[in-house]
Amino acid sequence: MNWNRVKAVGKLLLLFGTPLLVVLGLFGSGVYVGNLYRHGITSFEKEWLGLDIEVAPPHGSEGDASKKDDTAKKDDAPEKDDAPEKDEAPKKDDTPEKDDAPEKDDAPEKDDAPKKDVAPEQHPAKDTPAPTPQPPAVVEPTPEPAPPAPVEPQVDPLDDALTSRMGVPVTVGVKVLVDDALIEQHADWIDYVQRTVSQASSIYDKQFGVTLELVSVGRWGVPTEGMSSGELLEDVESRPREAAQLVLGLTGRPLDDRTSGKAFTPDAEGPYNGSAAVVYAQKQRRNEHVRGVLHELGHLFGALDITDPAAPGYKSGSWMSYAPVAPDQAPWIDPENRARVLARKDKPFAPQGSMSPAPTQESPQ
Amino acid sequence: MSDKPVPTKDALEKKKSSDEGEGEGKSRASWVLGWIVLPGSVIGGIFGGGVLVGANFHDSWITRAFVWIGELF
Repeated sequence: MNWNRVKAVGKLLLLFGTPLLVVLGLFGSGVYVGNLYRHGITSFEKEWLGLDIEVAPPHGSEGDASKKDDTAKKDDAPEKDDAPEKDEAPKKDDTPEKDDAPEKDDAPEKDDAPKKDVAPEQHPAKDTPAPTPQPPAVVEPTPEPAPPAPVEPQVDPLDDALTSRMGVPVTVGVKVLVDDALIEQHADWIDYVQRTVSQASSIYDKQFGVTLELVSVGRWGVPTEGMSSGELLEDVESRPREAAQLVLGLTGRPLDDRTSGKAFTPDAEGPYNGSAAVVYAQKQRRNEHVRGVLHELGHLFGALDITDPAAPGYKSGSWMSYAPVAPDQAPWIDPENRARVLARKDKPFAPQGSMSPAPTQESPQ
Repeated sequence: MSDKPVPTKDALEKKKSSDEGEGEGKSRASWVLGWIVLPGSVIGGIFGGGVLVGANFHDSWITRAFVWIGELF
């Protein structure tokens, strides 16, 4: 009797188990193949299907979780070429003078916006010696795997006054308008805007203690051609803000005469922060608007452009500089501009119609 | 009781032959549909779903599990 029961259970298991195994096997081999060729697949999804996703690195490089450790060295080598990533450790040891400069370079190493952002902060704000030879160090084949770990805690030390400013919680409501050019390029434009603002918020939170809250996203009915950045800015400024404190206009048009955006920048002593900005697409970047948003928001909080190629902030690729930076370089802001933003972060935003176009800043990058 | 006209013998034969032709066509199509298209879609769907999961969620536990199993071979 027992034997019959065992046989029945066995048959039952076979009956249901075999199909399950087949299905699992099919799915599993799909997962394995997908993981193996994820670079090609994600490239296809991005370039042909127009999905707004991050393209995975080729198999065996950086992102491969399971093989990270084994392939860490290989990964580094190619990455180094692209960006001033890995200088940190080696340089520090060798030349104490250069610690500052190289460190900056290091931080901005990899793709993940939030992680990397913090890294660049390490650079001692005030030390940055002008003559520090910039990112040639990058070339060094130092086998450091860009560690995501240091990202979080590595925030530039601030003096007491700025530290207390950092601790002041500020939440800024943002309304984003998106023009047709961007909508054509990003079918999932609402998600795109959410991601962009979320990344910018994460970076601003770490650098300034400012959180950006996306209040609304809307279509921006402006011609896709023929309007200058100044005209676009005036148009954005004239739009109702609803519950938001500032309005950002994101456009899909590429850099216009190297202008990545335009924003109202308040005077150092001005009572209000700026409240409207236009951000152009930077096609060479993974997220075309994040760096532009960081830059223009910086202007709204009083940060200034860095145009002098000899300035340390320029050399290190501050997001307020005009310096060309590697697409994957982590966002970093120079200490001077960071102090400006921290000082003004809780100022009220200019009421609608109160900003004159005069104090705008164009931002070539 | 009904007044339905009774089909003639010729008419019945004609109908029968045309039914056979249709039946052949239908059976071939249904064979292709039943044995090729449908199973192919199901199998392709399951495999393709796995590919998408593996490519887009390479850090998830399920991907790691299947990759680990795959690497055993």
